[in-house]
Amino acid sequence: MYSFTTPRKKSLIDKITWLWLSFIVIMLVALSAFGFFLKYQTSFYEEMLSGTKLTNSKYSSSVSNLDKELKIVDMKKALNNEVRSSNALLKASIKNLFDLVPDQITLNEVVMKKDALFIKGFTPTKDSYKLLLEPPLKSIFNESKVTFSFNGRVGKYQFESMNTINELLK
Amino acid sequence: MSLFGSVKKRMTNQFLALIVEEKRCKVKQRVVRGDDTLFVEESTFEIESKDKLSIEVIDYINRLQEEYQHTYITLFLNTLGQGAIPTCDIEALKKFSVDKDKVKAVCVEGRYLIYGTLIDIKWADKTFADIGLDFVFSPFLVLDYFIKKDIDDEDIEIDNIMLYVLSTGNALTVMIMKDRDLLFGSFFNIAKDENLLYTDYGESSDDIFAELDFVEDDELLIENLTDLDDVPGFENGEPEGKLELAEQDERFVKYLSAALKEFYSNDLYESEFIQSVRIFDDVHINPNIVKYLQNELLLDVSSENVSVRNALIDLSRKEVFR
Amino acid sequence: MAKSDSNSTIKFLIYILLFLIFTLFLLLVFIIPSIKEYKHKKAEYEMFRVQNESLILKEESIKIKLKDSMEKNSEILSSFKDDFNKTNFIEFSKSYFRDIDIKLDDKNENNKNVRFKNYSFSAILKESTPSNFYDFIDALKNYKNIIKINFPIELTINKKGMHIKFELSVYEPIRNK
Repeated sequence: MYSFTTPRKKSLIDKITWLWLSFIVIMLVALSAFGFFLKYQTSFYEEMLSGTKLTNSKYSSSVSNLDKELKIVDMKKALNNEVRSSNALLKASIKNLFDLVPDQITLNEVVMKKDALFIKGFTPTKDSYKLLLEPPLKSIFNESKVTFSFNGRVGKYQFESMNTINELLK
Repeated sequence: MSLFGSVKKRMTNQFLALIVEEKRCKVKQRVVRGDDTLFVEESTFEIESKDKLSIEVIDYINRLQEEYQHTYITLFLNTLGQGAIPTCDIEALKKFSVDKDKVKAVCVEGRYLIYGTLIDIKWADKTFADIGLDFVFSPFLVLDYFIKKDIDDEDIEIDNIMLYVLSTGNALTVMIMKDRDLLFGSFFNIAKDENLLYTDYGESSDDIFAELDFVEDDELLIENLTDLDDVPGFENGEPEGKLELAEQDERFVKYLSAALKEFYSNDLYESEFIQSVRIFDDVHINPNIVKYLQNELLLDVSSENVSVRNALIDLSRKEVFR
Repeated sequence: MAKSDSNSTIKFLIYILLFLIFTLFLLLVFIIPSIKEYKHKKAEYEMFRVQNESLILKEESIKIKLKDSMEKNSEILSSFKDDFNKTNFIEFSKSYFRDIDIKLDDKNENNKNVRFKNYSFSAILKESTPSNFYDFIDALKNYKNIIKINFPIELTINKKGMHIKFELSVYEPIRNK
């Protein structure tokens, strides 16, 4: 520097330019900040979302498990009822049968199947059977066959009655 | 040129060069962009005193500054107490009776040192307080600028030992150069008679002339002056054979002679015989002076019109776009 | 100077243009899509959050229902838990029968899907009256296992007494090995 004094500072950019530039920069910064803030918030919601989704699926599976258990309880209850009613029905059927048998007729053997009944017993007369036992049997069963054989020892007829329900034929 | 410099250059810059004399202020305005000059204007204002710039000047310059963002204001420092010494060693100032703590010194390309008083520099800042100041250049720097131009100009013949003079409105700057090195430097304010304190002179101008070794014949003075035209204060055929020049012109010659005497007599300066004289003239001095000097000094004296303000602007351009 | 005025007008226009361009660019490319994304995500989240709340309630209510159900049916449920103990059952049956014999039907041993194990029950009715059998059937309700009586039922009446033979299906809880 050959001058005895140093020159005054001069800005390359004039005031107006500075103003405008800083205004633009501030605006850019503000908008960018806003944009990034939005993105940050969005990612925050994304996190919450994935957390919630996870929780939801947990609850979902819990609900379905509980549902299953509930159904199992119902099923068990139903099963229990079924068994009970089946047993009751069975009891009723047997009771009915024995009620059917009049006093004169004695039974020796009874085989009850789901759709068949075999009775072996003694009847004083054939008619006793045919009048007293056969009709109700016939009303219940489709087919009712009976064979008689006289047993001299006890003085009664031994009968063997085979009764079947053929549901399929109907 | 640095990157910054080239960017700056590409913008519009305004340079204002000012020379403040006793009663007037000379201004030159140049607006440039890159290497193109967009606008040039010179003006001169009258001022009350050197120490106070008139409102006119202040308004004018401030108006110009408002127009252009980048304005550089350069002042030509023409205060007393300035000088140049042949070495860049600051300690050498002491030898030349200059207190290094009271001046600001600038080394020019490692060749010589130019200095100005701190008081004067402060003065400059104070005077320009309402305007602002960017550069303050020493007259020696300006003279060096013209000398360089001369050296680079192939048409101009230069001798090995040259006496260069810069003539400005109220000052005289003298540099004796040996090739590119400075042998002697001196600055005078020729508006007044006061600055002789700075050099060891004799009492009257007559004596000074008488003491110049190389002037042998007084008669030569008279002869050469018979062809001169009307010059204020100049009388033809004066019986004593002494030529009378205008007061200022006389002082010009007086101080120049004093400088020469100082140069030759003072052992601090390397003595060499001056081969020719070259005057750079900003103010259209009296051509008689040239002739007068030629006669007195018996040397080739040439003069050239220059513009100091242009030089100031060029110098500040170089500083800005460095 | 007129020149600097028009210069500054141009500058002014350029700055406004720059400003608008930048603003629009940012808005279009950055802000507006971000806002959309944000709203979108928020709504999505909201949806799942609501779903979450209803799921929690649902789970609560089902839990309560299940608890209720299990409390109400605790007896029945417990009868599904116990293993069938033959000895124990024979003891139980002794109130109604004598000469009790229970045999496992190993037909379905290989079929792991069947939860019921079948047994053949053979005994002599006490006091040779079928009413013990009826009582027996009634008492099964309160027995600690689930037991179903199946056909075929064979009754044979002879000197010894009323001999009865029938099939049993007993519920066996599946044990994890």
